[in-house]
Amino acid sequence: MNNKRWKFFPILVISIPLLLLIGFIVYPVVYVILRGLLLELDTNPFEVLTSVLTYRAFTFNIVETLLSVGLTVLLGLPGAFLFSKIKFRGKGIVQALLIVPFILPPIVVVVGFIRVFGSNGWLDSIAMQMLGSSTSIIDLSSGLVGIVLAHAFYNIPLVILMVSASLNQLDSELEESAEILGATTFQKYRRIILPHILPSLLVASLLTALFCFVSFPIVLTLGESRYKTLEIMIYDSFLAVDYGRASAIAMVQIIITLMIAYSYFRISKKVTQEGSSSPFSKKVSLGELTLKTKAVLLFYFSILIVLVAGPIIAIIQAAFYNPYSHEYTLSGIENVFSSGTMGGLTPLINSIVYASLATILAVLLAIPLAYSRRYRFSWIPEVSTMLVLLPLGISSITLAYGLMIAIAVPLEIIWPVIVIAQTLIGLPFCAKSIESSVMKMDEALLEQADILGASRMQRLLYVELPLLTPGIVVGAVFAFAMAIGEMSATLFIAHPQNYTLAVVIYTYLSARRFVDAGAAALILVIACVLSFIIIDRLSESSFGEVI
Amino acid sequence: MVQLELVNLKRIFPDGTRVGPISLLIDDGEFMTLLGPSGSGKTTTLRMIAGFIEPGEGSVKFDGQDVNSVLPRDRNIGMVFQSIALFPNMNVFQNIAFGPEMDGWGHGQVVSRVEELADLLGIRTLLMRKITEISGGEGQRVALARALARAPGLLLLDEPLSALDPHLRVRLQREIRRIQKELGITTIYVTHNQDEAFSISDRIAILDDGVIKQVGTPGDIYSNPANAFVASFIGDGNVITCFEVDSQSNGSTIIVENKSYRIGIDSSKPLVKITVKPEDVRISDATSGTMVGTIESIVRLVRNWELGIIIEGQRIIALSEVIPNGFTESEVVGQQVSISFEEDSVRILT
Amino acid sequence: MAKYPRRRNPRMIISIVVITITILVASVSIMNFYQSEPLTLKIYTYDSFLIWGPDPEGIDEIVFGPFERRYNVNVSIERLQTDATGIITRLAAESSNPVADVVIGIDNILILKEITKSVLEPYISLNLNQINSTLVDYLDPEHYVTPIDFGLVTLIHSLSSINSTSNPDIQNMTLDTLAEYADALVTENPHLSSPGLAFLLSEIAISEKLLHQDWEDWWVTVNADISVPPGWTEAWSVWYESPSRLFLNSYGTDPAYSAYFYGAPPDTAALPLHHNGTDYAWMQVEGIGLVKNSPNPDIARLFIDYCLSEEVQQYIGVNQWMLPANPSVNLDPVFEFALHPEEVTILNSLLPQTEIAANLDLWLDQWDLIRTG
Repeated sequence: MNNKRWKFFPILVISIPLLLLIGFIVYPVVYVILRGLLLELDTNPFEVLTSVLTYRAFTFNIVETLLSVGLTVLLGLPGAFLFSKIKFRGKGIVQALLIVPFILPPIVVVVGFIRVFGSNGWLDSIAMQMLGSSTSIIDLSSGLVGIVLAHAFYNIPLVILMVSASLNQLDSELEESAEILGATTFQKYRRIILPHILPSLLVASLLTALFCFVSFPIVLTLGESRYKTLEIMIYDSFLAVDYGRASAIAMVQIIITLMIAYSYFRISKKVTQEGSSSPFSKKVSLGELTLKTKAVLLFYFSILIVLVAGPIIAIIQAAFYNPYSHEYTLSGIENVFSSGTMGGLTPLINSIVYASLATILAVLLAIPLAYSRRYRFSWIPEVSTMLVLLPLGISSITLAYGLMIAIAVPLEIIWPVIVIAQTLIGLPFCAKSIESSVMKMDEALLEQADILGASRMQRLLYVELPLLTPGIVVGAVFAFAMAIGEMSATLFIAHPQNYTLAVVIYTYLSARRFVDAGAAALILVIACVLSFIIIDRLSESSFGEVI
Repeated sequence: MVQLELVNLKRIFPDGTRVGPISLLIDDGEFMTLLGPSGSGKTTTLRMIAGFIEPGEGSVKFDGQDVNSVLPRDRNIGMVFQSIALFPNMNVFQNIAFGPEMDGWGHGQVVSRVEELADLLGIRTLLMRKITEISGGEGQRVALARALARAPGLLLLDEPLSALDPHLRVRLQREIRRIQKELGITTIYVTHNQDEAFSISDRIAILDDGVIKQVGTPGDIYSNPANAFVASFIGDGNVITCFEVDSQSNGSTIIVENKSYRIGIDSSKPLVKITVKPEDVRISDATSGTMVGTIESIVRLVRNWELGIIIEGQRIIALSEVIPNGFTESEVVGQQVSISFEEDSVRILT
Repeated sequence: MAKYPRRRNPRMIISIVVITITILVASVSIMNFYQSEPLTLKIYTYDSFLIWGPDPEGIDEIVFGPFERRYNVNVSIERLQTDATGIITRLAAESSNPVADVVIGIDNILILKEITKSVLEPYISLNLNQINSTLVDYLDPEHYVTPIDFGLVTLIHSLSSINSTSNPDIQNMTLDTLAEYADALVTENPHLSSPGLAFLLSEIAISEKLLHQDWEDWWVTVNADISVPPGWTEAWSVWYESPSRLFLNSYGTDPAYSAYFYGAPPDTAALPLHHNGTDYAWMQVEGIGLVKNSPNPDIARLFIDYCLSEEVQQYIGVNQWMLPANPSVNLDPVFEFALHPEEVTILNSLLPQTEIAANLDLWLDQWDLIRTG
């Protein structure tokens, strides 16, 4: 009866988000690249690709990525063990705070980072006082060191969350069996624990590698033009309106990022298939630890706090402290809510409205995409997941530029394109969250709904959506946080009435209004932290599993 | 209340496992149990009746009408799963009310129906509880109430009690039977537990390896097993290979239907399989009887002893309330005993 | 009798979501739509245009209000989040469907790029005769852009941090001396910043034309020590906050700025590059131009005329901290502290525009090579 017709309905519903993704990611990027390669006849792509500059940028790009991943894993892995094994109060809040670096707009991070690690920054001042020097001793914020450290700042929380989620799933009975069978601690780690966390460790490393490879504002500011990555070269080329060169380099970059993204995608499938936290994982409370262990913990913890919490605190301080008048003031906060031409009220409203729209759109797109995973049509789930992950792996500059030339200008639409850019950025994690909820849905409940006479629509509304609500909330909050921090596309496309807070921070910095910039950054940070505390209260699964 | 007919139902799965052909007629108001070991196809058959699996061949008929192309939601069935599957985001009331609400009943109608069922199942006090706040047994009752809410014509139950402890299980078995009789609703029950099947069913269909081995009342199946599988499956019945002998040849014969048989294999004679239940095997002193064998194992059960006796190379299980012949548990193994069978308790298997 | 929960009608939830979306979309559309009525003239300029005066909030209204009322149009000054180079990128991206009418901030180096001319349309203003003709020659004889202001790009330093008493060798800041102070120097990225590019060209001009040596050598020497943030604001921050960074590549009017806001005599001093008894500085001339295929070309032309007149030029000094292109305007007294064109030899004359146009990309590439090497 209705069977035949309903068979096509799912295909229809899934194809809408897929078409949107293709239209707003694949089309603009391909347009820009092809235009550069085919129309700019005076640039020889081959020359560009074999030039010394490109070679240097490429090598440096790989080096900084590898080093960043290495440092991140080195510092993050102990944290993962700590987080998983030790019980302490306020774990939920700490977990929420750990996500903050991940979704902070990079420009904000750079400001805080320099303040902590740069010359005459906090670390430097302490060192100078201790050693009685009047000139700068420590400058960890420039060059390769600065870039790698800043990348670590961003990604250590990622490693901690993902690997600790995996550790939480490890049955303590496995560990105990090993111990009973006579395994030493070393053997236990090598044979049982390491293989168990290897998939999630790989996934976290690949994700880190992806972000570090296409990282832009950090390398631009801290690299001081001495250190170029492929993304910087693309930016330079676009700025000089040398499309041919931009396209040639973008092609190389895309090949590599797609490789990384594909590996991430394949391995992360293995991770999501496992269940949620095992109640039987071994946990120890703080009081039970030896003094020696506590000392080591304290040392490690202080490194982590300085590296991860330091810049965030610096941002908070920057919101209230005017470095020129050397006094504390609330004027920055006032400014954010004032509505003059330079006031923050319109950008604040824009930020909230655009991000809200982007969130709703992301959720609406993510739900059918998540459902596509349930269908055995062989290629649809694979393709949709790849498409959803694309924004992570594509140069944000290329995408922003593509959206501009291919869509915003010809069609004369501005703010919808901004909303779409923000949606695209939040979509990957939103989709993953909802997808993991969809996969965990108990089939038996759906069958019961069917048997009890619910129509397809009724089943969706009354049974499925309520079951998916935790996953949807988590996904929505992720989408919101990433949307509100989006900057590349907005910076490029927006006219002043479309400026968001993230963009306006730039303006304030240019006008040397540091307190105003700090205050705007603080608002963004607060919005993100609030969002994540909400997730923590509402969701059953931990973040690591969602990612 | 529906008459259910399965006509040559068959389904082959991609990995090669097959279910069917299955043909079965269940009367209106009958309580039919599908009984069999794991993997025998009981659940698959049940799901084909429900409409979750499409039969490869054959059809399912409700009151003579083919329902193969009818969606599960339109088949007017109630179903209770092993996992209960109560909607976690709703409370007990809302779970039970789900079916009627989907059908568009008015709020007043829904309320009175839910209360009626809650009374029937003794869960009236639980109506406002969250699903996480009720016990396993209470959950089963809620699931049953939910399944019955729309007054369906057919009730399907897939091992609903297997997760409960034995006492609770027995209590609920009886309740289910009572309710079923009271409502007169055609019911298909799936289980692998023989006691359960025997105590609550009108008829039982024994399944093995995807096909029906025998259908009949519990008494029928117990006393007259149709084949070796049923004979050994039900009550651990013994299946003994014998050959016919002339009557009045020396001892060790069993007399069934005026023919004499001896246990064992004689290549010159036609072979026959007979069956006898362990509780019908009598053990006595080795000297006193005609069939003599050696005790090879002894196991203490809740109510009696289970003895394994080897005769002519075949193993026969016997149940005895005491250890025979006055032996102690440690001595009895290896002793010789003679066995005999309770009159009229032996059947020939075809 | 317990209160039993009623099932919520999904229509309600769905309609709430739909209404929310509609409200959001509608409000944004209205906000955007409102901006474009009545007839709006769009001006693209860089992020710090005219915001350095005592009243950055109200300056647009003060300067351009009279024009708006005179011609009954809305003037929208869009300060793009970028230096002047980025404006051209934006215009090029929009070239198939231009949004802006007028662009302010194209300087005498930027105009040399082919791409710049391709997004502009030449216009000979009715008020051209009010503009210093030398400036016109320096900027663009073809009138794609007309001079609106000009300034000298030079090093500045804080007198309290370093001066010729404490360090006599800086009195005549030759390239060699500057190389010795490389770890105290901050300049900007020439790809992204016009003063940064001006510095690079100054160094090339002096090395090649005056010292007759390869310009790359100086950069190789200073590469490890020099600080090169992306743009002028970042560079300024570095200079201001690091006690070790003493010299900033900036504008010759910075001392005047300092005097105006913090009192005379100013703590900031200009320090032009020196060679053989003469001080040199690069002159940056900023221009205003008509966007090709602009939506409102007639009003745009009137606007350009307006900007060249005394009505606008009188505000350039104190709000832009550049020198006005219209010489008949009186300057605030603090400008006596600024570096004046008469006090230096203009480096632009050593490096003709044709030579720059032909070699700019090559020079930038070579600079990249040295920098990343």
